[in-house]
Amino acid sequence: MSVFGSSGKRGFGGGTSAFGKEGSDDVAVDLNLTPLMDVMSNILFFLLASFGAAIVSFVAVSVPVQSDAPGAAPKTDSVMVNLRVLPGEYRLNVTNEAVDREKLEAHRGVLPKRDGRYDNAALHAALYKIKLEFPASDTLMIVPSETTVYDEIIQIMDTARAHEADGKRIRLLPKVVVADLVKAETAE
Amino acid sequence: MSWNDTGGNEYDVPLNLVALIDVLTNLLFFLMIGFAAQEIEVKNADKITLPTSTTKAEIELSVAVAITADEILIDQVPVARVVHGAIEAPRDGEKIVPIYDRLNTLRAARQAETAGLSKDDDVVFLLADKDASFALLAPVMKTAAMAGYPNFRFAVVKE
Repeated sequence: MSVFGSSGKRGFGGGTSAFGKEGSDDVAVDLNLTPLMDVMSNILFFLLASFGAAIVSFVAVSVPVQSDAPGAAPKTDSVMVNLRVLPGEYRLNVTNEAVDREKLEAHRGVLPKRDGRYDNAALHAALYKIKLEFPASDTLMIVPSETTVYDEIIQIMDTARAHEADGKRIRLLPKVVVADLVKAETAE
Repeated sequence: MSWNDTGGNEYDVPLNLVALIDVLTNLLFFLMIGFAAQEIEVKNADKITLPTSTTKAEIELSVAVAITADEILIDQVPVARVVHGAIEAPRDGEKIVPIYDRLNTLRAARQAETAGLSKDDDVVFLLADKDASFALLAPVMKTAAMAGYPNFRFAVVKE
């Protein structure tokens, strides 16, 4: 006798059980998977919806720490880029003892706010210009003021991370140091 | 009209859902794992509106410091109160004592677990509201640096 019986459905052979009289062709175990599919599809949908809504990431930052170790000799193809965030403007400054003062002066400047917002487009252009002249530069030191908010610091870091043009991505100043000169803010 | 009611003959249309369930189960499993990992980091974020960023960095575990409008939490434990945008806690110079102590304790515990300094032992995952002023962030960052955490991961929401 076939285990599938004459109906072609799987059955049990011999004896009597909760499933019916075994050995007969009448018993079939059809597991209805449709409700399970429904539940899983619903869970999947809500998980996908919530997963996409709040993808949390991070941007790496460090603070300056005092070190007794001797510093590396300054290179002529890199500069330290300092950005002071004042309530009404950005002040950009570049330093390197090994580079001519005139070359550095060309990259110093004040970027005032436009329509009440910091001019990140102008900042990006200025940083790109610095990167072109000093390609080994990779660090931006941000000196926020007391009124600078967290979001503005993040926007500066986004602006300074990379330059994209013609499908190419050039890393600008991905390393960021946030310095605290709050008390010295009023001093010129 | 039912599926079987065509022309009087019985037609079985067996749809094999088992393979589909396998796929769904796998998807569900990986999504839940990923979701759980995210949740570890953003438990304190319910009171915080994170800024958005173009960064593509994947989240990495480290000590979480959350600065909300009312309090400062380290790994979900409140350590200091924030009143009118200023931190109310005992200080020793520029150091905020409860934050310093808590970070030091965690650092010691982590180093005991890893038997030495590991990759993320000097990194703080900082969660702060996008409108939090630097006057509020600076003392926390400075204290963390004094406690041996000079590196930070600023929490953001991917654009």
